[in-house]
Amino acid sequence: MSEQLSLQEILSLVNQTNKQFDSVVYIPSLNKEVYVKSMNASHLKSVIRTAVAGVFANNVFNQITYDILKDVLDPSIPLSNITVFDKLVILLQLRMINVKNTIGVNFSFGEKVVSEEINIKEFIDSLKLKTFNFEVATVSDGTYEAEICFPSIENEFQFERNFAQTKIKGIDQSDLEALKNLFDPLFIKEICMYIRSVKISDQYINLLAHPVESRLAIVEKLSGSLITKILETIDAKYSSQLKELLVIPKTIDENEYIGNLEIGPEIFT
Amino acid sequence: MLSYRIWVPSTQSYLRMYEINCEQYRDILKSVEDSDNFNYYTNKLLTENITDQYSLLRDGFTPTLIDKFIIMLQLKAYSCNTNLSLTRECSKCATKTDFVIDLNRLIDSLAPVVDRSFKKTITVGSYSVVCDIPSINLNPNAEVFTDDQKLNRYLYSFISDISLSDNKLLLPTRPDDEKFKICQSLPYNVTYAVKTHFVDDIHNIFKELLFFKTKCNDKKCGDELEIKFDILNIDDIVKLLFRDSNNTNMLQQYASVSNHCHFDYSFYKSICPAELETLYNMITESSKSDNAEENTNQDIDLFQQYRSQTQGMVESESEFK
Repeated sequence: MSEQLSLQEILSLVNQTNKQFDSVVYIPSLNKEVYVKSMNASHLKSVIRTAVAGVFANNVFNQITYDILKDVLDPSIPLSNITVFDKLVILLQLRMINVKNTIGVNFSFGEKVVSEEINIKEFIDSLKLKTFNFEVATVSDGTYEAEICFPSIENEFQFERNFAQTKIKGIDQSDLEALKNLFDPLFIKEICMYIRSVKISDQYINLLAHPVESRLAIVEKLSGSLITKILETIDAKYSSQLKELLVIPKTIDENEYIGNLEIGPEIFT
Repeated sequence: MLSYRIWVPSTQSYLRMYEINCEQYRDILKSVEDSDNFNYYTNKLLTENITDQYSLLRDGFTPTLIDKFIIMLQLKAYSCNTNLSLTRECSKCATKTDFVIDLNRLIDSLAPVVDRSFKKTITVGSYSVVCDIPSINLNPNAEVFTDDQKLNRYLYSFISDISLSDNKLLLPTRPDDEKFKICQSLPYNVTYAVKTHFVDDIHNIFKELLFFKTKCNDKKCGDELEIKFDILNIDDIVKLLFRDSNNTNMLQQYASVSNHCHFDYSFYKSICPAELETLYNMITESSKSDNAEENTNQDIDLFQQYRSQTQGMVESESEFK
């Protein structure tokens, strides 16, 4: 039996020991596996905070998962190189490594609902056989031209943090009018995340080099026709891939059930 | 002050403790609506009332949340009264229902579930985690917890010690902030195993444990009124034990007794609430008898009554009229 260790000695010992739980995760956009440290109890504490975030739980969860991924992912791969699509796949794998290898999904057929556990490893293995499109798409309405792509995790975090600080802070969640007033800024935020550059005549503006407030201001001034085309392209090229990831068909009793994989705070409980 | 043998579930042994005195009872009644102060005064009582001769504090005994409840329940029964009168409002029809809980029978009904040690060791990889019902913080001067610290206690309070390979981390000997830093660094799967194999089990054991059950007074409603045992809100359950009285009652009793009896204030502080109530009841009864006597009393003329003995005497004006 050892003498009483100091706090620093213990933390060092724990960090060394925790390496036994380190693993790898598959990142679709890089088409490779990268090193990931084990999550720890302080990450659990962060996840629990989303339970008290109410209607803003999604915003809080996105900020928290950024901090967790920054902490556990191989630091040689910056989060500006990993997309939000990858994030969902990584979170599933973090559940597989740290919690358990299955996740509950509700499958529905008409009014019938059946809950089943799906095997995450098998699910990830099936993803590795698929091809996903992470290329930049160009959209034009004749006057403006925009480049759009999946937002990076870093990008998403910047927008979510800005939204929390400038729009959500101080709002009473029971005030329906105040919540309704969030719809427009929420809409602009969601579109703005996908736009990486804008070209007006010969002027090329790399939005990624600008702070969030400036990007929002620029996008708000874009023409309605360009915004419409951007939305159509996001839906066709990117949202459809998210759907392919999160919507799972399953045949039960000869009926085609549809399951929706929900990746939120419950993923770590 | 009288002392009693008090049963402690976590050690499965008796502890000798003094009864609750009026000063302590008053502090508890005044703080019952303020969780931090209530915690302070009840924890202070737990340390102060252990008699030196049988003190387990020197041996490092720290009561668990369940111990606190069972000890307070016994002390309340010995020092105040064994019947707890409460009122519950029906959530369906809003009718108020009064009911009485016999604290001795309550102990008997809770005993099969709470009267044991809950200690359990969970092993994940190189980690061996000893889990138990959380201990109370006996330091009466402990800081009020911030939200972050409250979250720490919620997450980590069921972990009482950790061994890592051959190293014992000796959590009970460390201050709270060190304990929480160590627990926070534990791998997620270890904390998750503690949650699923201990914490969830504890919640499942206690969530259906009834403190009391009765029916709404309104016969048309007849809804069941239940008070359940919530392991993480033990202080709320302990507060219930003291909700059948309030500081105003005590002050009223004290005022009445001190009006009729000339005891030193230290006497009132040192007796238990049951004794104060007994004195109050004696005085109230005595006052009733005095009032009854006054109402039936008639003036007696002694000169008329003892005429033969007062012959020759002159009746003078009464000094008492």
